[in-house]
Amino acid sequence: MRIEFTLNGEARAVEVAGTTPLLWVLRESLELSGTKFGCGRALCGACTVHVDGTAVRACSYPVRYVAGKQVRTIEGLERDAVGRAVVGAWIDLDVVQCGWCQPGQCMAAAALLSADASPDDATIDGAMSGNLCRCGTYPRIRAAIHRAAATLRGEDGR
Amino acid sequence: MSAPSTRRDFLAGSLLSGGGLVLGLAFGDRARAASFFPGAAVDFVPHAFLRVAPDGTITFLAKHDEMGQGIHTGLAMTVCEELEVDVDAIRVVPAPADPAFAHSTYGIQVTGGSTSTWTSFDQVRGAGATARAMLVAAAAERWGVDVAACEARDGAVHRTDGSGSATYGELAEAAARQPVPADVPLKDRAQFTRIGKPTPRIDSASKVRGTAVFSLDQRVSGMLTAMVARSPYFGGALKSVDDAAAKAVPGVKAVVRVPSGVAVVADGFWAAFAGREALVTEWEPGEGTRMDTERLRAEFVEKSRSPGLPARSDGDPEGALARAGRTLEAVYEVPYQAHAPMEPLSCMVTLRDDGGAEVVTGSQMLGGDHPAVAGRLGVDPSKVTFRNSYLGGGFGRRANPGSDFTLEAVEVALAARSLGAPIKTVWTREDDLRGGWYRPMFVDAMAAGLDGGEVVAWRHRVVGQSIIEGTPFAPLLIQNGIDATSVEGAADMPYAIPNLGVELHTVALPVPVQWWRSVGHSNTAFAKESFLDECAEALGRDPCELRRALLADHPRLLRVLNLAAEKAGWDTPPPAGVGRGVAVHESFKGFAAHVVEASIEDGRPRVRRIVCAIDCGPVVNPDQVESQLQGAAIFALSATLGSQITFRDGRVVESNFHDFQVVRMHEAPVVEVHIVDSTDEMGGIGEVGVPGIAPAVCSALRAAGGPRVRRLPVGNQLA
Repeated sequence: MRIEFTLNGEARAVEVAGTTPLLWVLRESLELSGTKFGCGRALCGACTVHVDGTAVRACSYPVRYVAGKQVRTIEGLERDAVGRAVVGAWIDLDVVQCGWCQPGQCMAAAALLSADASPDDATIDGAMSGNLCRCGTYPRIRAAIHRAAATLRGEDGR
Repeated sequence: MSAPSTRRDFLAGSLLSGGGLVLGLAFGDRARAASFFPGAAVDFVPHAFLRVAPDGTITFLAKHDEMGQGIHTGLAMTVCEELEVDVDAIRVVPAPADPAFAHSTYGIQVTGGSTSTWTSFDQVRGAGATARAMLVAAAAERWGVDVAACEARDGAVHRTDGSGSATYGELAEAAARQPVPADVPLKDRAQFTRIGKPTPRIDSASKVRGTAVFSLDQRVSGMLTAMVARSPYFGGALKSVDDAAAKAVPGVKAVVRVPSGVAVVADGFWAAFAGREALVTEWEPGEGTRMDTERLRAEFVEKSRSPGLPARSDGDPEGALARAGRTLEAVYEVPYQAHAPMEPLSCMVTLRDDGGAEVVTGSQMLGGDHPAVAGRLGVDPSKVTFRNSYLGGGFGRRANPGSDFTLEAVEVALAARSLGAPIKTVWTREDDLRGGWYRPMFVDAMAAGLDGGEVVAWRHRVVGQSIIEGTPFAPLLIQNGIDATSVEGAADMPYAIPNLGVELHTVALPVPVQWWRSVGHSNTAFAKESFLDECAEALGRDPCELRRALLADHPRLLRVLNLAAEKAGWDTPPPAGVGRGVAVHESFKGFAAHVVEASIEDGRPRVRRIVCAIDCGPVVNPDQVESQLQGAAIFALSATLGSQITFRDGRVVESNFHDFQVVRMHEAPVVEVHIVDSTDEMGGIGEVGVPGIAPAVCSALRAAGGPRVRRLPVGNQLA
């Protein structure tokens, strides 16, 4: 079926089976491989993208449900201030190790910060516990979220 | 799986050849070196590692694979220190498969054993220094002055009298005509301006923005995607397959038989997945029925009651145990453990008309995979090109002694050759967790004799599979029937106990096993450090004090122990309800101590704080040492608290992250890392932070009022 949606601010149309997970449409049909595959069952968060501003797991999100909606991926994250703050904090603090989970982590963090400008640790736990990292970068992810929040509040964050 | 004999011979020969050959290959043949840099005809390629182009672009080929440990940044800092150029002014590219990039000690191209930094340090500095010397010589020739009147700095050569300078790019062509100097002095440590300073990772921005290319992200025009249905039983075989429904799935191009099962080749991941789901297969369990965790536990424990092959015997352990005023015995157990890197495995193969192939993957051991693939294709390795990617986690899984995922991808490509397309074979998470090559399950039977307030006898019996037997590494690592990796951390344990025996029972089982971050230490340190705490408790001695007394002759271990204890406030009472546990362990030439604070809440473990001290000798990038130690602690915590691979009726029970439970954000404690300012010998980092976590956590839970946990993972044993 033909599915039209907005991807990172641009109108896109794809011709695929409507049950295909959004992840594979992004990675293969649209060649945007910043969104990662980790589990295929919405258990690890590596494929996190935003649909109408909400963080969803693209590996388990049939593409037909994005028809007419706004989809944002890591490739479009820096289009707004929250996304720029998140990416900037991640780079400043050298959060990454292997890096495979990090685009998904950033997407989850950006969704969190869009909803809560000053999340405390418990709020971060709640928002981020669906995003796995085998390298164990959690302490730096937590620090980067606090840093991004401070940046968005106009503080230096250090 | 049996590797072709040509590959075994190659590996065995390489492993024994040592480092001289390596330096020779990397430095000796400039024409060959130039072949690694396409289009390098007029560029300056002093050896296999570096190219300086006339436009100033400097390309550095990284011989070690970047799987998160920050080695590309560390190697870049190391070469830049001597080349006199900033890290962000060079481009770092993964080296292709070639003996020129062999590991400086192991002799084949591999990244593992926490060895990348210390084994390549002098070689990579030499690479930078050699290039710098040739650039300086070219400048001196241009200006008609002595090299002593020239100084390399910030990517240019400057006349010391300030009368002129030339950039490396401007000097590249002339430098290429200079002879390669035989011996170039390296800087003294005191002269370092880059090594030892916290330095940002070169791959942060691309990984955060999703532009870094991993194996699964690799694509070429016309590429197809394959998924393999493998036997659910290790040692099992395909009985029958009905592929009619699979072939009818839109996008499926072919269903082919391969040695490991049935491959569905399709125009994308989802079609391959749906096609594989539609296969109807029947499997003969074969030997696989032996795999049942509860039964194996009983068998291993039974075995541990009898003496094994001696791996170490000091004094008279049996006599001393018999004579001791008091004896303690305990059985420790660890399960099979999967690596579960976040990026599932994949490998793309393009078969060439000349019988060779182009292979693109994410591997920790191109030096094994390259000859293995050439052997399978029956061609000279020169007809097989291998390109590596960023590795989305490795933890040992991608250094497969049987080249399992690369060879399988070649089998798929061969079986589907008529499709005439590049084929990327991909694994799902279920394939990964159920695909074997685990850290083996072990039982460790411990016994100690106590007398006069001291530990006078110690016996450590290890029961488990060998990860080395049947691999090309066997001649080196198995001596007198003892797989050194099965008893590492036990046979070399440092505590001064006069009567000390270590024994090994090696068990043969059909499940394939391999190294998992920290290898044998991931088992032995748990038993050794936990049981020493049991001794301390029985003797009424403080766990840190007892360790100090037994480590008098081990200054580096003592130093990390004291540092961790001090930083954790060991001598002050912990918060109410919180217990502290300690572990100190040497592995991979690195020395680590951990103090863990944990509590028990509603029958569940809660790890609140981990304080770690490491001595790995001189440090290249302190920020990445910290990052590795933080990550190692959390990686180890997963295996301590929740993750395991178990078998029931011959099949793996776990399948994905709902039942293979790894630590998530809300369970991740604070991890404080303290690096010893050390001028001792350089050692390992990445694995060194793993072994101490399990025993320190379990001792902390004991100190918090819980039972002594002797079987990993802790799971619900506290409920």
